[in-house]
Parts: sequence; structure tokens; C-alpha cells
Amino acid sequence: MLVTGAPGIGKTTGLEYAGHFFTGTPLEEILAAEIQGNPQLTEEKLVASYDLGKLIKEGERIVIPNRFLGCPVKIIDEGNRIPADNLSIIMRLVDTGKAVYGGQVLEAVPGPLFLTANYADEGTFQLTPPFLDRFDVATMVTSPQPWDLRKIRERGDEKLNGELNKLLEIPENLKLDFNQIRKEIKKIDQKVEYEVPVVDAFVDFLYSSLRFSEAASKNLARATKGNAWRINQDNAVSGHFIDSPFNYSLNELSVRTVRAIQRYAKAYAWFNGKDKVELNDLKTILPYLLWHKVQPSSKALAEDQIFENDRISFVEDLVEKVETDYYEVLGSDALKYYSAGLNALRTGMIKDKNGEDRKLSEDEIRNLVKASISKLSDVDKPYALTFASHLSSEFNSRANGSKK
Amino acid sequence: MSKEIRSLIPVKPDGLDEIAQDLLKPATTSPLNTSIDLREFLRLETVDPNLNPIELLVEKYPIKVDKRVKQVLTSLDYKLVNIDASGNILSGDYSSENIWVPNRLGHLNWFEQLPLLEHFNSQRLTLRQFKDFISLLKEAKDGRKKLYDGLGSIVDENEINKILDVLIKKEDPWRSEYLDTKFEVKNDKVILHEGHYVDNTSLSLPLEQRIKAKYKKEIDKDSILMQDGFTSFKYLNDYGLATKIEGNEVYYLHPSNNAVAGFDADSDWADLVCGRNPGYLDLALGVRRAILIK
Repeated sequence: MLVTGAPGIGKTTGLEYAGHFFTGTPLEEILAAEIQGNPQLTEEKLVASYDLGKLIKEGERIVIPNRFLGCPVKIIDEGNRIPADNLSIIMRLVDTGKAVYGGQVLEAVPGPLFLTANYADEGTFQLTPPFLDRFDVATMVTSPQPWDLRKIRERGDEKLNGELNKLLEIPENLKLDFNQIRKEIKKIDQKVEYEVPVVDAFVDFLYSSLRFSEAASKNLARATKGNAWRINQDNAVSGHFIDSPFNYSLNELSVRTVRAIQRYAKAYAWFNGKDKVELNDLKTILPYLLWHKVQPSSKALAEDQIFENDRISFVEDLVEKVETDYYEVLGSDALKYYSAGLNALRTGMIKDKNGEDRKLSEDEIRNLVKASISKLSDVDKPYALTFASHLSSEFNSRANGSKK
Repeated sequence: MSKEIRSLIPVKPDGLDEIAQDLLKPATTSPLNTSIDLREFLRLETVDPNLNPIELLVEKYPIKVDKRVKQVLTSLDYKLVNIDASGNILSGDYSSENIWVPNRLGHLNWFEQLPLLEHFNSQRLTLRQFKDFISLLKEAKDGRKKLYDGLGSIVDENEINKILDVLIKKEDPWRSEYLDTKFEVKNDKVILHEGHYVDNTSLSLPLEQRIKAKYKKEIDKDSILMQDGFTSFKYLNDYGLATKIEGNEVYYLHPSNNAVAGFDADSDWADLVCGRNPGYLDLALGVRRAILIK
């Protein structure tokens, strides 16, 4: 998790204590393992080092993982004070929970990894998009509200009155069984409408809506923002579509992000005591999973300058735009043409006027798919391109499959 | 059959079979489906083969084989034929192959024109629609009606004259175009087949056998002229067939069995042909696209 906010408002302290209470890891252990971001951090300080005694005396290279890897709660404080070169060392760790030192793969103890980042000042570096993409979730911590500040003051100063150890005790009934929780989250299902899981459908639509880029290529397969490496939404000349959701972001969602969305939506539904994840669960968590990854285009910023600061509002607005398109699709003829073509490919059957099932010939399937794509070509929306591409892809797979 | 193919979006299955059935039918005409230049079309209020009022966009001149049309012809597997300066074919057997020439549509017979028209979601004019088209042009020439192009702009007098000249002026070269109407002559009836389309449900059949008609109308032989001769456009009936020999505007060639309609003009005459072999080819043959708009 990436945690951003102004300095001195309790980001790191909050994480240390939350880490302790959620995992049961002693606070001392968390503090000892914590990495303080600075430009001089080395691989040895971040990941592991050689046993110097053995190396000098016996010439043997024994790798000793540092405490950071061995702690279930990993905190990198002020991570944006670490230069990009050094951050790349822990990139794999954030992504896979594994690190490499001296050619040896080291497995980190499972548990959350937090990185705090103050807002930019003269001593900070820009966190790169690939690095940010590895953080599934991010939150902005604001300074406490005045009424909360009073509570903090009235709580007493545990550093002065020595009651910290007592406060750190975790009541037995609040101890968490992570294995059990994971099992329960895994069981969380989603509503399926007409054989299509609705949450997955929306996530796929969101992914598709943001990835399209007219500037990237004239070939639909390559017309994605990931391929717009020289000319992006901001410096390309205006394309055919000027007010679609993809116009509002510079980058697309990674597969890693899409997988995280599904995981976190389930977790959120579980947290609320549900046995099924719904679109509302998804929409609640999306801003916190995307704001640090999706960059607004100049069109989005022209629409509301506040998005430059408030990326959560930007993502909320973007998701709303996608949702508008999504509901338009649900009632559209485009969806019917697409589905009719897809049904033919899927079943190879059609019901005739008397309601009798009839097998379609290969020529008929081809003609039906061709006609579906032709109808979709009349729909002046990027989603129609996605539908047409999907039909074409499934038709080609079918044709290639039948040749084998 | 793959069961793994899944829709990206949930969709209610009700009515999908009807949509699939519709998609299997020939393409419906819609100007939105085409990449046409509306300035090259005229608005024509006319009737469908059941005599119900409709409005068409009708091409000002027979289709030109430009870059776009060449692309379409290639995509339809029509083959380019090499011809010399005199129009002689240097390769290819034009009686059995789908072929086309660089500048004119020429070597597509009545059957072969249809896939091209369908690609543009267009059709040929029926005899009656052709009669209305000529009437509209003549009335516009005389100032009795305004002629609008596909964008709704009024067509000026010079252009009206040019369109009419290309169509009916008695001058060479010989120009010709096919119309949609096909005839069946049976006993004392003439049966008009109109609204032709390519039935794509059985691609193994030759094109000629896949062309079907949406409309069929029987009329008594007695009600029309069953002989050739000069007539006038005003003596064409509701189906565009001549009813008497009088005037000298157009030479009428009466319907014959399994023949199709066409219209020609050269330095001798303009003739309305109802007895043309649909397999007939000629370099000067063309077709005019008509698009149903309402």
C-alpha cells in the first residue's frame, strides 16, 4: 500500500500500529525492520548482505537477509526520498514478495508492504509509473479533523505516562486468522447475469474503455495507450473520438491492476459481511486502487483543474464516465448485434421462426458474424470497435481451430 | 463448438435469435452504412414495388470505377482484366469470370453487379422508379420542380442538363445501364420480379442461383404493350411499362421471358429495354446506385 500525505500527520505511526494490531507482530520488530528512505540506501540495507565473517575468513558467500525481509509488516518510510535506481531493487519485492541478492532468490515473509511518501519537496524523487503500478492500493492521509484532534489530545500522551505497552496488547477476540480470512474472501462470489459475472464485466469494460488510443496505431490490435510511446493523448492531434473515457487518461490499466481490482473488491465485500461482491463494492474501492496509477490527460485537467491535486476525484469522475457508457451499452443495439454474432460462434445454432433449433452451416456462421461486424461499424463508439474485434478474434480462433 | 466463448457484457438472450435471423438476411439499405458522397446523389420521391411511397437517393451518373470501387471489387474477388487501347480484352475469359475494367464497370453482367451494389447498401432502380427519376429530371429542367442532392442542396440547371444528357441525349457513345426489374412471361401474364438481393445462406451455389427477388407482381399481358416501338415516358404505367405506341421520346423493347430491364442511349435513340439477357456484358454497361432513405 502506498500512503501519501503531508509530513507529521501520523502516516508512518499509523502504519506501524495498524501493522502491529492486524498481524500481531511486536511493534519493536516492525520498527527494527522499517527502512527509512534516503538517497544513500544500498542493496545491502534494503535486501540482504553477505556474512562478512564467513566471507573474510573462509571466502564463503553466505547471504543474510535483512530484518526487512523477515518482518511480516514491511514499512518503507518516505519512499520517495529513494532514487529510482535504488527503488528498482525493491520493485520485484513489492510485486512478488521475492528479492535477489548475490544470485540467490530470497523469499520475504508474507505480509503487507507499506510505502509512505510525503508530497514533493527538494529532497524527493518522482516515483516512476512502473513502480507505482506495483502498489495495489493507495490512500491519501489527511491531517485529522479538529474534533479528532481533540480526541487525540484527551487520550493522554502515552510516551509520557508509560502506558504504551498496555495499549499495544491485542485482546484475544480481536486477533486475526489470516489463513481463514483468505479462505473466506476466496469464497466470495459475484452475481452472474446471463452467464456473465457482472463485476468482471464492468472491470473488463473499464479496462477496455481506458486502453484505447487512436494515436497509437491504425491497427486496432495495437491501438492501445501502452503502444502510444511517442505520441500520447496530450500531444496527439485530435482523433475521431473526442469525448470518450479514453480521452481523459494518459495511460491504461495493467493486467496486474485488473487482477488486484477483483481481489480487493472481494475483500471489501467480505469486510462488509457479504457473500457476494457487487458493482457498488467495486465502485467504492476503485478510486483507491487507481488514483496513483491513472494519470489525467490535459483534457481531464481542462475539465477540472482540481484533478491535478485530487486524483481520487479524478478517478471517481472517470469511472462515472465509463459507467455512463456501460449503461448505454446495456441498452444498445450494438450489444444485441454483438451477442447474436457471438452466440452463433459459441453454439453454432439458431432458433428458426418456429422456435426450432437449427444447426448453422459454416457459411451462415461466417455471414452472420460478418453482418454483425458490419452493423457494429455503424455505431460510432469505441466500445463497438471492441465488440467487432472480439467477434473477429473469436471467428479467427474458430476458423484456425477447425483447420487443425 | 467452443463453449468458452463468453460475452464481454451480460445480455438478455430474448430476441437474439430474431436478430440473428435478420442478420442472415441480405443487408438492409441505409445511407449510414456507406461511405458515399451525398453530393453525387439526388433525392427521389417514388414508390416501392408494392407502390408504397418511399424516398431514394439516386446516383446522378452511373457508378464510376474509382479507387474506392476498385477496392470493393477486389475485396469481392472480381478480377481485373487487361484491355488494349481499343477495348479488346487481352486476357481472361469474360463470359465465365467476374471481371472488371479500369475505368468503367462494363464487364459486370446483371447478376455480377448486385454484390457490388449490396456492398454499398444500395440497389438498382426498378422500371417504375426509373420512370419517376426521368420525370423528376425533366420537370426540374422545365422549372416545375426543384431537384435536391443528397445533402439537401438545390441542383443547378447546368447540372440537371448534364445528368439528362448523359442519360437520354441522342448522341454517341452508346451508354447503357441495368435496372432491377426481371421478367417472367407466362401464358397471358407478365410477372415482374423486383427487389433483388443475393441470398448468402448457400454460398456453394453459383451467384446466378443465389439471386432472389423480394417482390413479385403479376400483370395481364393485355394491360401493357407487348410489341416494340417508339413511345413517350408519359405512356409508361405504374410499373414503368409502356401502354401504347405514341410519341418518339424513347424506343420500347417489350418484356420477354427471363429477361431484365435496362436503359440505353446513343446517336440514334434512347431505348427502354425489357428484353435484355441478364448475362449480357459490354464495356459501356453501367449501373446507378439507389439507396433507400425512408
